[in-house]
Amino acid sequence: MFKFVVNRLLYTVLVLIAVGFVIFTLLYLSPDNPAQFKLGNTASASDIEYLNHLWGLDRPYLVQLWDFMYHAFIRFDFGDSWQYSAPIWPELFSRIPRTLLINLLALLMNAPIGIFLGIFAGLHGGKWQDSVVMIICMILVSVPGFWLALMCISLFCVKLGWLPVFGIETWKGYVLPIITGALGGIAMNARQVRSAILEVFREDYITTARAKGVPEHTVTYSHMLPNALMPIITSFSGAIAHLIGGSAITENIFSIPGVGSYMLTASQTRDYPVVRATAVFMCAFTTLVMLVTDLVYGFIDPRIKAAYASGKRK
Amino acid sequence: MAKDIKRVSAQQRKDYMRVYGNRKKSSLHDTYAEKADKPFLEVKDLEVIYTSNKQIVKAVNGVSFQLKRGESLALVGETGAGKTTICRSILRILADPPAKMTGGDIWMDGVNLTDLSEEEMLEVRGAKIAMIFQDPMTALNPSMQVGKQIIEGLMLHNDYTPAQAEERAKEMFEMVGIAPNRMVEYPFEFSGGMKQRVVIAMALACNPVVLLADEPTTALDVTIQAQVMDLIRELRNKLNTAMVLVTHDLGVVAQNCDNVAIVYSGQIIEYGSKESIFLHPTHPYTIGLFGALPNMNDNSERLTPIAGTMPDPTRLPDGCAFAPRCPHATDACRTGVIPEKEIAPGHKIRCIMRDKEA
Repeated sequence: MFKFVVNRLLYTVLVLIAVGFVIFTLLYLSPDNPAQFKLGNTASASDIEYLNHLWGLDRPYLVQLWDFMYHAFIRFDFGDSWQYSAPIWPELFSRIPRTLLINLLALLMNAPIGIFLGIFAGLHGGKWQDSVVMIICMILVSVPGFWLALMCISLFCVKLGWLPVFGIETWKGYVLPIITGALGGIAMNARQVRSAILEVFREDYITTARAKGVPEHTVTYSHMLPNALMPIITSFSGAIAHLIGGSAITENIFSIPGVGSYMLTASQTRDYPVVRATAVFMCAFTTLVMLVTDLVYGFIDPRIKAAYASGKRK
Repeated sequence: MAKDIKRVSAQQRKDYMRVYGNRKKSSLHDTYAEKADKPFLEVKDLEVIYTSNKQIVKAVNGVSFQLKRGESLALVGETGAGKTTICRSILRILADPPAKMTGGDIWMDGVNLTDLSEEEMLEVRGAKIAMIFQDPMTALNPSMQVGKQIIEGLMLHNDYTPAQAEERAKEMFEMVGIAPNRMVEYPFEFSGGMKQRVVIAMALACNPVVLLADEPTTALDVTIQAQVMDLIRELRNKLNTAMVLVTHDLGVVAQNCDNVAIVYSGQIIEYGSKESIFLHPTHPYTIGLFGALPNMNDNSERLTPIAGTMPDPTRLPDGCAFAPRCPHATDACRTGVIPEKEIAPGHKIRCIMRDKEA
């Protein structure tokens, strides 16, 4: 088990380095001129040249790449923001808790609610309860997240005045970002759980359990659910990636100073060091959450648990 | 061990009172000895249909049989004849929809199981009537330790503490020849034959009075088949359990059963003691079944299969369902209902032609 975690962590580091390389290269290849962005259209050629020299953009690709990789992954220093000429780390650090809070709470919300709705729909397969849940889920999955967020703002913040339109002065500011972040995941999870339950429903071991005289609710929770959860957890990590990617948009709509909005603004102003830092951070967060889901997966599926504890096998 | 049996039987008495105590049935006052001779399980005119795409499939059409304590009955027939459906309807675990029991009664020990509520049925399943399934590969919950799967049933039907249940589960494991320390393992860590042993241990853990064995050896290879059947026989003798054995294998029937019912298109077309069926098969279908068996003393190059296939269960023919494949069929066979006739004591067939000859 310990060995597995260490292996996965090493693997995560490799993934991060690869991400750093890809991001850097893509930004290097982009035809934009960051100095022009910073200085505006009236900037003189010599000013632009000066900035390019200051930022090291006049050096060869490999030198720049090494410089970035060395500082980012060995010194853990992402440098200064070009736009604000201030170090990135303190700014990023102050933003991380907000993003983590929103994403983790959204995740914690969408797993239980989605699973519950999925079980409910699956057990009533084909009946009206199933149709109602599935239609709602279909709407939630297909409606774009930002549109849903805007509609929520206009209903709860503008019309009803229950929640602030933007800002995070009180906890109320976090309510809508979390809910709109979770809704899509809830719908996705519910659909997946439902189909898994329907699949498990006709398995022989369910009949075995019934033939033993096991009451129906125990059949559902201790025989169907653990087996139905296995495929769900795999899809769960996909939902995480989706959620984190979406947080850039959510944070922007709700004007929350988190990592997502930092990244979005930075890419609009061609603030490459910030883009690189936030991308690496988001990637690290995603892979870590995926590691956790893999561990949970192993906890539920005895075959994988046995593989973790290999060596002990008979 | 002796103490254990006593405890279980006291428990069974209690179960009995709990389930049947408030019913005005004379069986409650029957003595054990009296009961031993009476049919313990009686299936009467069982009818089951499956509905699929608005089509009605008549899977079981008026099946009746009886079983005394400790007795064993074989249900023999082709795939799709309705044997498994019969077993599942006794336990009332048919998947509904699409299956539905449309008629008939199932009497067990003076109680009509079809009248019981779902809660009362829970007390019967696994405790009084247990079932062994066809495919051990899929019959066990893959994410639950095998020991827990046995303990679960034990805890439901007995007043055991968890420790007692575990003790009993260990005993069952020893009985079926698996080291008790493997109780904490998961089904994927067992071979097919071992899994079937676990399934058997699970079925017999609560000392059921009736065991429904649905092709318990079909998925296993021949040597394991023999072991598994020996094991079932041994445990049944120990616990005096009656058995309904579903099988295609006439060899297994010969070794394990007292009576044989030949099932065709959801009907018992021939019923009798093992001896009468094996020595005097009378229904043309039964004769055909034996004709399809290899014979060691015979030098014929080819076996004789029964021509044709079973009729489409959505459109069963009038009269005898076997008539379209039967070499002796006449016009009389294709109309009306074929009645059951007793051609020798305890030997019944549904065939008007052979019935005349006899």
